[in-house]
Amino acid sequence: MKEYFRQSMDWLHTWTGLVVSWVLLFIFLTGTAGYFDTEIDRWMQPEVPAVAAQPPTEQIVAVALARLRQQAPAAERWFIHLPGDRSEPSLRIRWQSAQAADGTRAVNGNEQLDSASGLPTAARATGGGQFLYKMHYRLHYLSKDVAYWTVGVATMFMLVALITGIIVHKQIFVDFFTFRPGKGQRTWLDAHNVLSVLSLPFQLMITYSGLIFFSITLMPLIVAAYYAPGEPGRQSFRSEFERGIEVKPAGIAAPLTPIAPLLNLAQARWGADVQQYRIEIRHPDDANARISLRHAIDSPSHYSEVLVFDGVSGALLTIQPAAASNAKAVRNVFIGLHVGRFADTLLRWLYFAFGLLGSGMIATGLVLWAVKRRQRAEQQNGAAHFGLRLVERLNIGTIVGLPIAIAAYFWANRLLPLDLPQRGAWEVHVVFIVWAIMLLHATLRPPSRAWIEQFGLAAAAFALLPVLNAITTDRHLAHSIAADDWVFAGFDLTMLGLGVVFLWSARKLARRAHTAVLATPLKPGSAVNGSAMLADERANQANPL
Amino acid sequence: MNSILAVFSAFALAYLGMTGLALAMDRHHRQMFPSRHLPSTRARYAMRFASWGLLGLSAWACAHAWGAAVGAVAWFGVLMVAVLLLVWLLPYAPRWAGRLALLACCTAPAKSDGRKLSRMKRK
Amino acid sequence: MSNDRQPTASYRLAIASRITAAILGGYALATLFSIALAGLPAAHRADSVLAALLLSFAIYAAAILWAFAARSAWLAWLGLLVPAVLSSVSIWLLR
Repeated sequence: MKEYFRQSMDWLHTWTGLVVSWVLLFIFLTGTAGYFDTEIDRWMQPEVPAVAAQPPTEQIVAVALARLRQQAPAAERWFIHLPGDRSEPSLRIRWQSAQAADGTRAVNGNEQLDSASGLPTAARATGGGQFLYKMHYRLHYLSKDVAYWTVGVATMFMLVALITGIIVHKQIFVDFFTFRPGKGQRTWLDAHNVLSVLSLPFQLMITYSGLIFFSITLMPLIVAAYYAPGEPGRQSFRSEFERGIEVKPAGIAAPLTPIAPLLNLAQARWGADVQQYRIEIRHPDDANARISLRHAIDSPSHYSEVLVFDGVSGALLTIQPAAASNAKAVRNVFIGLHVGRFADTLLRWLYFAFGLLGSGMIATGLVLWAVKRRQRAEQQNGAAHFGLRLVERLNIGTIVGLPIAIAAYFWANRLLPLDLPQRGAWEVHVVFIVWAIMLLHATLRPPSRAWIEQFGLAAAAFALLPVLNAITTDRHLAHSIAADDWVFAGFDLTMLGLGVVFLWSARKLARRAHTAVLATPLKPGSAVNGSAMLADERANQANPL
Repeated sequence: MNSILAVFSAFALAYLGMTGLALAMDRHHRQMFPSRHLPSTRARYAMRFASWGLLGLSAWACAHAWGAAVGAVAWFGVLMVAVLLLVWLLPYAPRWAGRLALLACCTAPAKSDGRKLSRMKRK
Repeated sequence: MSNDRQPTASYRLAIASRITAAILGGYALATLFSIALAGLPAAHRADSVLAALLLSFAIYAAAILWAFAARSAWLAWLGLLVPAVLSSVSIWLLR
């Protein structure tokens, strides 16, 4: 009875894991990089000097407003993101036109400004770390709906894989610290177990919260049952949580009240150590203008309370709490934990580590499946199934090939000509071109060679990035350390570290392949044992990690 | 990050607690102390109890360093790093796993609380 | 679900049935159950709908697990159908 349950959960774990793992690996690698999105942004725009002292807030707001008036005088909403912590290293403005019935906005712009001059920062066109991060939920080359559904389905599969994995893991407490290297398939299982169990709270959180991000898109009928069907219903549902801010424009021109006194009021209410604000202006220069102030988040609840002012008189109209209900509070915490906006440097590295563990969990699971199937194929003396060969090639091309492609993103950033039209888009094209090449390489070479070659290439791709940086810019590692610029230095050192890890892997595999060639002869009379050993060795050849 | 000392204590206490839990298991006790006898049932319970206490203190240290809400999140990260280190040391350098625990003993009570030392049943 | 057995036609059918039950039936159950939850008396409809949205994925996951843990494919469908019908009744009553 219990055995059947375990078997069925084992089957479900294998298949829900296997089918989506390569997509999940893409999501995990880009998402993990995304925890350092603004740091990567800055490395990818070396023309922008390291953040200097900011002018007084009043001045910053003034230049932002001037630029917004120039760029988007007719917009429905203006946003001013004041510079503060690592999540907002520089002044950013955004503008949006009114939302149409189908949910789209005709105009949707943003600019990064220099706080002193009020002009856009002069730097190379690039998607930066922000784009890398955005791809982890938006993917690329796919429409928004297809992308959201793909990520949503993959996440749902991962949730089931996590739960079934917990059910199936027989000795989750006894084997908590167990890792037995050098034992082939068992080592892979140990690695998969350790990586998964260690990061289990994070994985469960990241998966469920990921689904919550998409909840309205993935479960539209629940909203449709109580609001209108389709996009209008969803919009009216969302606006329920913005009670107090929504107002129609009067159509009468009126000057905008000075914002500085409003910021002072907010500062008095929130305390002197709350630095960064987001200013939202609805219907600017209109009689019904509204100015909302939000502060930077330093707790997992992710949303701040909102002070809503009349845009003409400057009177405080309402104070909207961060969470008006328990349901909203729960959602806020899920979102907050996922995004990790509140995380300081150390905590951010922990998030990064958890992301890598998750990637490792997925990768070891994939390799374990392939090793097991290869071994079974050898023992039964059958030809390797097409599915097995496909999985083995996809494994190489994604587990090592995708990191190479991400490194290529950074190489492209330094090497593509600055005046190339669509430069930012081309940096991203490079990622997918290189990934495709790696997948092709994995198909053409014998698996054992392909693993070693790709690990070697990954080592070079990452470790040589600081060298490339030194050649193409003057913000090389020595300069960064001397100037206390830990964003640049941190990036270079991390790339170096990743390169070392890949190099170690390549060398270990090369050594193993070398000793396998000098395999010891089998003992006579141990035919069964012998064939198992041989099968194991051949399995290791195909998946020689 | 408010207090570097508190963060360090959190890691040290987490590592100690996890080592204690590992020592309560036969397989890992043999790995770390191959020549010693395995602990009795009572000793196991005592080690587990003390270890959970140390993990709790680690959580308290996280709350001290980051505040309660953020500290709770940080604690999971701290535990993860501690276990990762231990799992890596046990098969490759088991004696270092024990030595690191001794080192952690000295650094963990960074707020000079004598009771912490006596709670740890060191073998 | 042992892999040593040579898959028969009825085995394949059972698997296909369970997969359909899990993916489609599970989604239907999660949706209906959540709509029923959101319909329960609440201070603000928006909050109960949000709470239902948050829970819907847990229900979906449970339904998927059930579809494969059930002793037979028929039982899998039955186990999803019964709560779905009860949810529908609840929705209809609370309208």
